[in-house]
Amino acid sequence: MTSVIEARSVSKNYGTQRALDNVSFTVGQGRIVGLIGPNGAGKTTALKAVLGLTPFDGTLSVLGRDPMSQRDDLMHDVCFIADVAVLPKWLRVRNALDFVQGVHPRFNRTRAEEFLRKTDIKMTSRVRELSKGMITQLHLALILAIDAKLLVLDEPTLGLDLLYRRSFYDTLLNDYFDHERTIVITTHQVEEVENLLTDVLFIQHGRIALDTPVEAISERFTQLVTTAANADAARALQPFHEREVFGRIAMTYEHVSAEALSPLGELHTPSIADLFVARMQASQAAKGARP
Amino acid sequence: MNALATLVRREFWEHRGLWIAPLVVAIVLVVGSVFSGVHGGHIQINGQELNALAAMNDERRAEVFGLFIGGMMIPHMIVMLVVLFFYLSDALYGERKDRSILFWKSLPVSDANTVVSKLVTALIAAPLIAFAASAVTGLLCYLIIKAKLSGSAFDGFSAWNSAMWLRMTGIILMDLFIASLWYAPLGTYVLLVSGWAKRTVILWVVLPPLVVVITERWFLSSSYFAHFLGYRITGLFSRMGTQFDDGAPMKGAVIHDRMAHLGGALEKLNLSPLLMNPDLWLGLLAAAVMVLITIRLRRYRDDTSG
Repeated sequence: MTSVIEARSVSKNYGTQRALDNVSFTVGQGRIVGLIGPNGAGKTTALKAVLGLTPFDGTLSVLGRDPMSQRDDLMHDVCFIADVAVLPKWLRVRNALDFVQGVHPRFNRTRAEEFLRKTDIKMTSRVRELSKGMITQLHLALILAIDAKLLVLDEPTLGLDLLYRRSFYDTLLNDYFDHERTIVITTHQVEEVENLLTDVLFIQHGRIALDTPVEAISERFTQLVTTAANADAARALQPFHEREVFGRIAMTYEHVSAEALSPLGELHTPSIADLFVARMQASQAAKGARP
Repeated sequence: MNALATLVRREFWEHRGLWIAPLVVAIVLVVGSVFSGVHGGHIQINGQELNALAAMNDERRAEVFGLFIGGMMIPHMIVMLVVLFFYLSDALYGERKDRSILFWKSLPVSDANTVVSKLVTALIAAPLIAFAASAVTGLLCYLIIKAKLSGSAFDGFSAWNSAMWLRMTGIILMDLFIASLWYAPLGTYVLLVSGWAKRTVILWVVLPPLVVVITERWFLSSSYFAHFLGYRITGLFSRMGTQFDDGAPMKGAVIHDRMAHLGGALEKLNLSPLLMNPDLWLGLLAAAVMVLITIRLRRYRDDTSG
């Protein structure tokens, strides 16, 4: 597996605040990686470092290039939606296509126009006349028509209604992803991207809290749903997270065998959302326990 | 090259004043000459009848024609300077304010190209549009005034003179080129502040020089910096404007006397001697340094996190 992003001990401070603390991770080609964390965890900072938008300490290699010193070259192969609604209000749809066509050698205008035909967006409209959902569709149309090796999406559907969110990810998966390209998505709405991802990277307080391929989750993590009667026995196996659901208790384990757990209740593979909540709350609890 | 052209077009999409302003000036001048005080019988300047024109020889008439064509450039140039000031103060600020910089930076356009495209817009593309507008304005105003004068005693005065037109148009183009070079350091300074200031760019453009001027006045009781600024700002126009502003009233005899010096006035419109002025080249050196700083600012400035 060729790696698209290699981060080694990447740190970044904003004043006295440590936004990234010795972060190391690898993103392989053809993966769809979810960079997931609560607000202010360092997701956006990590992406900005990858995109050469902010200086950092440590080493970072993106498609074999240093994003700080070789950014201009790198941007031929990398595309990103940094945030919703960064398209300027004065820009006309037609001119947006003209512009990207004029500056990007790998832009396929026909493809962007085809995509736009499926929407209600008119070529003559200005961005200020479009709804937030339509602006995102326009941005997506521009990005999907660029033949990039790495696509980075930072909260791409923030503030959109469900229909737009769903169609955004459907389009991404069906019309763009081809197992050659690599996609990195940050979001704090885990449910949204759950079925899309091949890998998850949890980030919290500027550190990587979990880094795993999705297919390895079922082997590594188990969720046990049990009753109060079995609770003490279940706790003895050291779940890292526990919560009550409708009078039953759900406990999440890491590296505990199914044979040991199955006598105590029902076993599930935790969803990414469950796992995220479990991890975040567990580390909050650990933090609170410390003096 | 194609990318640079696209970047410059982008500037005109965003800052429509860059092409609307010359259009408005042209319309005002054309409409103005339709309703001007030029009649078949007489011409008035400051309320004084200008009979002197009728008695002029061909050489003088050619010079009046040349001054007329050249004079059409001046309102265009003044308006363009104002428009460009506001353009440059917004050029690297607007994209940070509306966060669209994150879109522009998602495309393979280097910061150097972006900064250069804004300077090309301000120093080459916009002046060329003002030039084209002034050429068309001059032509239209000439035709209107000629029609108004036809059949009158002044009919011959308004004769078209191709050689003079070519000469004046050449001087205008050259002047615009020199003006771009002369104002490059001031324009680059405004662009630099536009790429640096967190808000109120114009205040930050004006404040530092003002502080220097006031500080110098207070502590050194001198005003070298103020004179320097005045020289950089009005250096071009002071060269053009000395012909008629000696304060003498515009009476018939005075006008007659001055008409005899029209050739001198034409020479004043020609700025090309400024090319030999070392201040022009020192200014360009300062501009180059500021361009490098501006590119670095756009590259490393990270104030979009919010």
